[in-house]
Amino acid sequence: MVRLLDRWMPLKHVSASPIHKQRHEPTIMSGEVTPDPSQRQVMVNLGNRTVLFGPSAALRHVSHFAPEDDAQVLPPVADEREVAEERIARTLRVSEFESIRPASEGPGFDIEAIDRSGRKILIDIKVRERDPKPRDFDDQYRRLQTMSSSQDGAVAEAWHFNIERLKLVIMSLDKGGMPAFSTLVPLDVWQRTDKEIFRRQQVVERVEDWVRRIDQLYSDIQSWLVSHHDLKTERTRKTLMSEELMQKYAVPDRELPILDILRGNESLLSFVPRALYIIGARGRIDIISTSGTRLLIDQGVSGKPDWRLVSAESRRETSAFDQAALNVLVVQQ
Amino acid sequence: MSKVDETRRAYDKLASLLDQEIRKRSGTTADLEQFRRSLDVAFYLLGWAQFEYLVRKEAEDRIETNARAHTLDGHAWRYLKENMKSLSVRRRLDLLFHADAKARAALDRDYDVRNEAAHDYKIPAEARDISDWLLKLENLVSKF
Repeated sequence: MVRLLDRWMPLKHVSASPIHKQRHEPTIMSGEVTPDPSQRQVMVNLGNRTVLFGPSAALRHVSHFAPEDDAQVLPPVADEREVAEERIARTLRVSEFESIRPASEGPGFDIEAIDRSGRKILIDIKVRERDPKPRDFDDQYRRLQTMSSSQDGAVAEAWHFNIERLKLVIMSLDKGGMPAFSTLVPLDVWQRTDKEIFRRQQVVERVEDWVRRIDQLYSDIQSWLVSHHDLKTERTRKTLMSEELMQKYAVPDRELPILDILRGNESLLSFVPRALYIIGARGRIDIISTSGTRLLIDQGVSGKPDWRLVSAESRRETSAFDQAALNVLVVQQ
Repeated sequence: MSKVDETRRAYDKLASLLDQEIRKRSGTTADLEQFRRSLDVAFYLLGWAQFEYLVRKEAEDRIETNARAHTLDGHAWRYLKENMKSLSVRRRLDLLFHADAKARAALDRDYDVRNEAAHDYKIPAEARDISDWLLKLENLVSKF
């Protein structure tokens, strides 16, 4: 029995949109999909980034591909959307496939592959900046049915790449001819150039470093305020960190703590992390006080933060943020 | 001072009001932070729209002036004037910033990412500080 992530019914059997929404809800079906696409690992170049898609975390196995296997350095592009489909067809590698080549039969299919059991698989590749919608499946369902009945032993599949949120949804037909869906998630993302490989792990480590620097700064601030018996601090509120680079490299959004300095129940100062990737600094935290907002930026180097308070008069001027600077801010409230 | 400066002042005020709501812990932080992101994108695009209008007007003004010349170049300028509508913003930027290659290149890059921001809340790293970015636009306008 294969656990299917999504089941979908052809449009002609359903009516208005409320039902459309329901048909994407996960269910477990007894139908068997052959071959099982949900266990594959798929490596593709989207233009600049190379992505390794695979089963979700719970089902994950050892990676079949690594950046070292991706030896081809392709010219960088200004807009991945313009070349993604061509690059995917050109660079596609799949863990369970013996051979991959451009499709020679089956109108509308891009790839013809042979899996380890010798079965021919015809693949229609679709690239979008969103998840597929029901109307995308309608046409393809009919085409998959037609192809599966006309090709002797061949299996037809439609692969939907979401290059914005990095997801691969594979639509196939089970033995009963019903549609089945497998969703593969990004296991790794990297960009290879002539000089280096920039990996997802580097973004993960940068985010972790940002979390540590914030935590250390907050701890310093709390220790500096020990002598202020009328003040207390709280880290209960959170702000969501979702930087563009994190999205491009499939790094999950992260909740970051806000540090509130309170007198009684009134908040005097709130430290709100606003950005990690900014020009000229290694992160920015806004200090919101009753008299306005000041910017705090880290102009240090890796492993040695240097928090600087940006002048209220000029963004080009900064001063050290230390206990004395904090005291001035507190006294001004 | 152009309208871009007024836009910057309006942004500073609205951003400050939202920040105060965050400090006073009125409403959920997630909502307030989302409002702040929406505000940033809205003013980023408004700044671009105003800058683009000023670029268009300034380029037209220069073409009009040059088209009055009774020289060989005047014919070329008059041809440009007749085809003004087909002149893209990038070509107009060429006219205004031909002596400042650095600024021209930066604007080209900015234009590439501007449309991304319009539909997907993507503000480039160079413009994460909207107030400072609007000030830069204002400074460019003052160089026209």
